[in-house]
Order: sequence, then C-alpha cells, then structure tokens
Amino acid sequence: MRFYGIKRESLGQLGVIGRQIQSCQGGCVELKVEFVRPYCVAYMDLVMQGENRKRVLKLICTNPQVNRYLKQVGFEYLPKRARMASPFPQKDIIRINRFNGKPVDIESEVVAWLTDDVKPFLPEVTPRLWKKMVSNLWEVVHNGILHGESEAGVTAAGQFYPQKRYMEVAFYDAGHGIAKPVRAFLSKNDMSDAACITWATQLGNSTRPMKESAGLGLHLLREFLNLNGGVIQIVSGNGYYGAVANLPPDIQTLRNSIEGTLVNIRVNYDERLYRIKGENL
Amino acid sequence: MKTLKVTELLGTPVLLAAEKGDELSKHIRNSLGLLTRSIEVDFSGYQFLSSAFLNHAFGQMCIDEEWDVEKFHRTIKITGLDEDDKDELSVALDNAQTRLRMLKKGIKPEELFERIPA
Repeated sequence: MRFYGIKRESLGQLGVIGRQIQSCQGGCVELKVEFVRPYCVAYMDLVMQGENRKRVLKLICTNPQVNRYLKQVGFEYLPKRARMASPFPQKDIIRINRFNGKPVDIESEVVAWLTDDVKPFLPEVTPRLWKKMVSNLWEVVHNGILHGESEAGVTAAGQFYPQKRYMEVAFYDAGHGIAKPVRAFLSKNDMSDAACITWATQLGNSTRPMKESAGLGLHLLREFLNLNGGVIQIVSGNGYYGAVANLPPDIQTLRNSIEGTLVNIRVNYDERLYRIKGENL
Repeated sequence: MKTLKVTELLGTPVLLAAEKGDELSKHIRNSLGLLTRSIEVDFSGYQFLSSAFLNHAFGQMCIDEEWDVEKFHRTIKITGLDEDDKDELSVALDNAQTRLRMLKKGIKPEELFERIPA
C-alpha cells in the first residue's frame, strides 16, 4: 500500500503564514506558493476573517493558478486585480463552508454539506456505514464549535485529486485549542500540546462536563481510515498527531504553533465497498 | 403505554445536536408521572444519530434519576433504533453508570487519568 503524506512540517508552517498575515501592515498580503491544499485554504479563510473584522485585508498569490483555485473554492479575500489561470474542473472541488452558530442550528447544514459535497468523492460505503461516518464527522465540527469557543466557528474545505485518487477534507477552528481544556481537566499544566491531543483522541476521553461523555468522536472514522489506508492529522497549538492506516500514530511537537485546531482527513478513492464489521449485504 | 415518536416530536430525522437530546429528555420527563411509570420512545424514521444526542437524552437522565440500566429499560422502552445505534445507546448508558458510580464515591474524573504522560 502506498501512502501519500502531508509532512507535519508543512502543517507547522501554517502558524508562520498566520503570523505573517496578522503582522501585514498594508492592505494586501502576497503569498508565494505553487499550490495550496484544503487545510491551508480552511486555515487562511479563518485567519483572514479575523483580520477583516479589524481592517480590510486582501490576499493575493504570485501564482495565477493558485488565485484561480482560491476563487473557485470560494475564498472571498482575493483582490479584483488578481491574475487568474484557466479554470480547474469544478467537479473536483469541495468549496469552503463556514459552520457558525449553535450546533442545533447548523446540524442540517453540516449533514447537507457532507451528503452533497463530500460523499461523492468517497469510495462506496453502505448506508449503515455512512450514517456512522456522518455522526463521526459531525463530532469533528461540533467539537470545533463547542470546544474551540471561537466566534468565527469552523471552516471546512476539501479537494478531490483524481489522478492520485484520494480526497482531502480539512476542518479548522481558531479557538483555544485542545490542550487548554485537557490541561485544566487533568490539572496537568506541564502536559505538552501533543500529549493533550493524544489523550483527546482516545476513546471515551473528554473534557466536557462530567455528566457528559465523549472523546473526539473519531473512533469509527479511524477504523474506516485504517481499512482504507487513509490519514488523519490533527494540529493544535504546537502539537501534532498523525495516524496513517494501522501504523502507530506519529506524535510530535512542532517548531511553530497555530491558534486553535486543524483536522485534516485524507480518504483514498478505490473500488471497494466499505461496510461495518459483520454487516451483511 | 404512551408512545413518544421522536422524529415527529423534534420535527426532524436528524438527531445529532446535544440540544435535541435535552429536548427529548424534557418531553420524556414531562410524560412520566405517578400514573405513567413507563413510556415507549419510538425512533422510527430517523436518519442520523450522535452519541452526544444519546448522552443528553438518556445518559443524563440515568445520572439525575440514579437509575441503573435495568431500571432505565423498565421505564423507557426504546424502539425503532438500528443495531449500531442500539450499541451506541448501551455505551451511553454504561458511561452514565460509570459516572454515576464515580459521583457517588466522590471520585474526581481527573484522578482516573493520573498516568497520562506529560
């Protein structure tokens, strides 16, 4: 099985991009990159939202293909003068979606987005497995809104790569991150961000009030990704957690930190039919 | 036995948000009384269900009322759930029992996690 990984250092670089955007003195940031992935789009959307609450700030790329891509995914901070390359196939793009509000108010919106925008790029799954995947992915958005306590909510973006036959979808919230509530909950001020993420990914662990119980809600999704050879990566603060298929998770402290939490999921597109263990067809 | 049809009561087949679990819990508590000691909660027609919903709808009720799992099932008859979500319900009820036992013993949850590496 072949794995295509996003290097954790690339995810760590987001913090650098974020700080450069925030410290920009002019009205336009110039980004020198050859391509951007969905996790970068989701991250930049929230950072730019935050900056544009204080002032008008645009973002332009030196590469016209990146400008075109950002325009097509619905990135709204491009200046009108941005040079654009030819359009990409729109059918491969999962446009930016912002989920903001009380969980009960955005529930249907999340389900519609998953069903209409994300599901077409997944390999075939049984209706029973799809139900469980929706509730798992709901937990990702829900945690971002609830635990992140970020006023901007959660931004999601995605992309299908037909030649590499995988899709990626990323969720980012600019809240206080995973570590703060975990440290407070466990009364362990010296716990690293990476250890806090690892704790939160374990089944049943939660910082929610005692009367509730839930982890990050990724258990079944992890099982699916194990079978599929997919990847889940979580960055919060300077902590990094990456899990590829059945391999032991890669847990590291990054050189740079981000505000809030980013979850990036990669699913391989193959011809298999995925179902729940023991499910009869 | 009185029946509460969840999707009609909440007006949606999507049962993901914890707040909806709270709402269902209120309906159940309002329906249970001196004369009504058991109730059927019918999930038929639902599409999606989350563990957060079940924890708020039923887990919290077990903690508040200090019910064990048998008492829960004697009082609330759950119908219309598919097999996977029956498992989720069992997990929610078991978690509630664990937390109830912890509360009764005065154990702080963080004490259970002392061996987590820093």
